Amino acid sequence: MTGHSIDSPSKTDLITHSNTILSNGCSVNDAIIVENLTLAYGKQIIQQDLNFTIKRNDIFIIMGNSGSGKSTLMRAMTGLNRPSNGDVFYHCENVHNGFWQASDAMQLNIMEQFGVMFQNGALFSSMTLLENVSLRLTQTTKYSPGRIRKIAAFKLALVGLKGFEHYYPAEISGGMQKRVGIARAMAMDPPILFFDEPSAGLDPVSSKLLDDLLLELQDSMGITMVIVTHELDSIFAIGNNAIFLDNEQKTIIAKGNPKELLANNRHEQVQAFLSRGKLLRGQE
Amino acid sequence: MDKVAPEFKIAYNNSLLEIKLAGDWTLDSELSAARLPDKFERELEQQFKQNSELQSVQITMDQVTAWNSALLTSILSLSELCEQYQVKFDMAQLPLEMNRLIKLSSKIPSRGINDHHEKNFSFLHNVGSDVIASVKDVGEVIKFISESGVAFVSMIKGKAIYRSSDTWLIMQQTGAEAMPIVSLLNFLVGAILGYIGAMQLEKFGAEIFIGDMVGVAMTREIAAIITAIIMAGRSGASFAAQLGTMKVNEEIDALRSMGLSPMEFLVLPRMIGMMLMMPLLAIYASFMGVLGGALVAYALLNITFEQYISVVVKSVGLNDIAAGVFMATVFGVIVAVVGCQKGMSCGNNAEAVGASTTSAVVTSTVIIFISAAVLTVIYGVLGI
Repeated sequence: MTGHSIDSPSKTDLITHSNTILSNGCSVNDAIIVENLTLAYGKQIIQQDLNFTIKRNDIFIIMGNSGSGKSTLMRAMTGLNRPSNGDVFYHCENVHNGFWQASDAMQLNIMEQFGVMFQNGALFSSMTLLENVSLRLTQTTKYSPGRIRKIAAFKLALVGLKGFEHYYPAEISGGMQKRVGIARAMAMDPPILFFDEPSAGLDPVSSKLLDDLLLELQDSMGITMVIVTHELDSIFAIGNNAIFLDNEQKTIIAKGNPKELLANNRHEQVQAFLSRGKLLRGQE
Repeated sequence: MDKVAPEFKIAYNNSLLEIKLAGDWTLDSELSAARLPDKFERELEQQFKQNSELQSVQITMDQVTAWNSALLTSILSLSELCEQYQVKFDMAQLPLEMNRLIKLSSKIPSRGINDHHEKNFSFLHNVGSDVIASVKDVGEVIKFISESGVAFVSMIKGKAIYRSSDTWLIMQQTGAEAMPIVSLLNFLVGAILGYIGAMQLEKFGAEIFIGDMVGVAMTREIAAIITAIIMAGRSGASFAAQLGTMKVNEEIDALRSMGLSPMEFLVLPRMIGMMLMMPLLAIYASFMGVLGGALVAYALLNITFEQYISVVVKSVGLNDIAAGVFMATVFGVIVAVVGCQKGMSCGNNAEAVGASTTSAVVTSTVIIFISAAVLTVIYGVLGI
């Protein structure tokens, strides 16, 4: 478990250290570096030559139209799908040893650096919410059962589900299932969280509440968040950095802050994607 | 950088409890470090119980190099103890991030009620609940059989809406694709019957009747039963899993919303496929069983294939074949109805699909054996 390091740079430190370059060419502020990644299903290339860096404490959005390979990219970054080429580097210390080049034991170590929330929560239906959140703690730490229950209950309280510990996933709403998914992803206190379409299928109010929760968690815990989404309201509300994956060119066609991309990026696909939201929100 | 082992010091002085924490509190893979939060909490509880004059708590975390939720839950317990014993505890002493997290965890008020899963019901209550559930199950099965009957009548009238291509596909899956396993198992069962028969008949010099024994047994019952068991494990389980998964994915609701009857669209093709294929498979299985017996007869008793077949032809009558075919048809209906019913009444999660599949196989097997016994008695009474 990674947890909160008193030695780790605070937000102020991050600014002053932002230009510190280590001997391996990596900045101390880099949480994830994606290098020359190519994603394919068999011979069909989905995305290629993907190069980008995610800074610590970023809320990083992976956006693009349906079928552009957003979720596939997230799966490659989280060790679920092997990319055809390239690699993913977690934190500076691993920069010479990419995730996909690492040994099985090393991969497991790297995987402790992140938690993943899947689109529909992907909760285990035969387990209570508490058991869902406790699972990884039970299997990978030496905490006592009582401590694990306390930690899991605390994580559920963090996402506003105090009192629901003994419910089963089928007994709660879709929005609540997503929140349990977040609690489960946070169980080991990872410094990085991945979210696959967290707002999909939620009403605007629940979606807003979820965005607020992510912002609060990021603010309180300083977690780096990587979010795959095409929900424009969420992108503008919480994202401070983003990439846009294009279906036709099969690569990244825009990088940067979503609001700045909307204002400055002249790429037709990016504007079509981002300004549609502008029209819908009556800002034009 | 080497990680420093976590430690705590607690001292009581003049109604003040001083707590000093130090080291790395994230070491969860070492037993002593991982259990330290528990030890810390136990010690705190003791201090609170022993010192009735305690008025305030002071906590110092300057020497803590790293912490995680485990320590945070201990601090929460400390906060609860302070509340319980009305002791002053200023949360501002805690690191900023820890303070924020504690505030966030209590920000959203509790809305859930956990009680409903924790009640311990009495034995009588549990028995009563099980009986009520069983009665409901029986009711559901009867309802399902009635609905499938109605769907069948609709089909005969030409009003049922289903895809005939589905029926052909089911026939291929339950018939042609099952032939290798049906062949192997029935051949072996025929050979086993022949072997046991050969041992006994040899004692009386009646070896030639091995063909009589294997032929009649396989044709009348054994082939139908063995084939039905294979079909229950293979096709019945598959029906339950397919329909159960469709229910979980709301595909059955989608059919209903389109005005299509799931009984006609999904259950009927499976029932027709199974009812048509089972008798054919049973006849084929009888043939394979007789072949198995022939091999043993030739190998152990030196009875030629011609001699063996002539005995089989003389002993096995049309009534035996008809009895076997009828039994196989009944078994086909049982496997299809049970498999489909378990699938359609499946719960809405992955575990329920597994439970339905298991239940489909177990229930079909039990009903097949009971029906076989009942039919054997009826055949005996009717002199078939």
